[in-house]
Amino acid sequence: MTAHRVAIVVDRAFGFRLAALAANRHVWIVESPTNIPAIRQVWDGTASGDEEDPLGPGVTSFAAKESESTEAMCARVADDVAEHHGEQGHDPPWSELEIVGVPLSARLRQAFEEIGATWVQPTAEGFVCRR
Amino acid sequence: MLTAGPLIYVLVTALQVASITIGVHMDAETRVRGINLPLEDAPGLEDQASPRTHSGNGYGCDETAVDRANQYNGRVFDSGTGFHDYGARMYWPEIGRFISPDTYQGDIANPASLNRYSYVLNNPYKYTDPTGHMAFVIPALYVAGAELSLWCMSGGCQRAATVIGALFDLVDQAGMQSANVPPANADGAVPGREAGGEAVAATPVLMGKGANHLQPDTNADGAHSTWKTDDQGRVTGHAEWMPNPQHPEGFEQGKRVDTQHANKHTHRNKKTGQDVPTPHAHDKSAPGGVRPATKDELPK
Repeated sequence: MTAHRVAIVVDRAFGFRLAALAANRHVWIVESPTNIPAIRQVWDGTASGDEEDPLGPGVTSFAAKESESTEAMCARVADDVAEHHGEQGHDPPWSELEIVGVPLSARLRQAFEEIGATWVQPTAEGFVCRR
Repeated sequence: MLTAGPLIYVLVTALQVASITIGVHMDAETRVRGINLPLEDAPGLEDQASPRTHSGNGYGCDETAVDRANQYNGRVFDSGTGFHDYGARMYWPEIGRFISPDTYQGDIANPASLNRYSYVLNNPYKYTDPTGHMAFVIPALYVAGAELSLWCMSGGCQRAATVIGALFDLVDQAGMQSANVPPANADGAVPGREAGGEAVAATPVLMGKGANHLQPDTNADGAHSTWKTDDQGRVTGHAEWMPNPQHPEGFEQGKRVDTQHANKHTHRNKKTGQDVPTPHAHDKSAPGGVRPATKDELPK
C-alpha cells in the first residue's frame, strides 16, 4: 500500500518552513499572522491544474479557537484529520502523522491512539505517529 | 436446552437486584444515522425515532400470536397506546424503537449504543433491557463468566461457552480492554517497539473516537446517508454511501459535506485554484475533489 503521510502543525510561528514540509505530505496548519503568508505561498505555488486529490501533498489551514491551548487544538484537529485521511475519507488512509508544535502528552497519546495510531515517537518539535 | 438470551436475562436481572449495575455514560459528541432521509430531518435527535429509519418490532415477536398484555421481558402492553411500558420509558413495537431517548447516552466506542431510541443495540438475541435503560454489569459479568466457565467444564450447559463469549463481548464493547497490552492488529501482528519509538495500544478501526466519525450504516440495504452532530445537536457533517462489495464495510463514501458547524478549515482545490473554506463538500465528481457546499447540502 502506498504511504499516505500527513502532518499537523499547531506552531503559530512555523512560517515559511511550511513549503518544505508540504512537499511530500499533506499539512494541516493553524492559521496565524506568521503562517498565513506561508500558506498562501504554498497554495499559489502548487496549482498544477490536473490534481484531483485535494488531500495529497499540500496544505489545509484551520482556525484556532480563542484561548485554546496547543494541546487542545492538536486533539481537536486530530479528529478532523482522521475523518479526512482515515479509511473512509482517503484512499490510501494515513500511515504516518507528524505533529509539530506540541510535545507528546498523555492526552494526545490517547487522542491519537483513538484514531488508530499504534506507534508513537517524540521528536524535537513534537512527535510522530504511525500505524 | 438453555439459550443465551434467557440466561443473560437471568444474570442481568439478578445482578441488577444486587445493585451492582454500572451505567456507562458518555456525554461526548453524539452520532446519529439515518437512511435516505432529507437533511432537514437530521438536526433533532427526537427525529431519530422516525419509522422511516427502521422497521419491525425489534425482537422478532409476533404481536398477534401472543398475549399482548404481558410480553417480552414481562413488560405490560398498553393496548390503548400500542406501547410496552419499560418503566423508564415506553417502547413502540411497530417501529422497534423507544419513543423517548435513553438517559444513558451510549458508549462512543460502540456506535450502536449511540442511538438512544434503539432496543438493546439492535441485537435482542444477545442483550436484554429489562428497565428501559442500557445498564451494563461489567465487573459482575466477568465474575459470572468465570463461574459459567467452571460450570461448563463440569459438564454443564453446552451453550455456556457461547454465553460466556457474549458476556465478554459486552465487556469488550464497553471499552474495558486493557490499555497496557498492545492487542493484535487486523493482520494478526502485535505492534512492538521499533527503533526508539513506543508502541501504544492498537485501536481497531471503528473503535474509540474513530467510531464517532462518519461511517456507513452496515445494516442498510443500499445507498444511504449518515450524519453526525456536535454536543449541541448541530449537524457538523454528513456523507453519502454507495454499495461496494470490495470495501470491508460493504460501502464506500461518495460525497461528504463538512457543514458550517464543523471545525473551520480551508482546503485548496489545486485544479480550480480555489480556496475552499467550510462549509464544503468532498465530492469526487467535482473538479479537484472539493467544492463549496450548496445551500441544499447544509442544515438549516
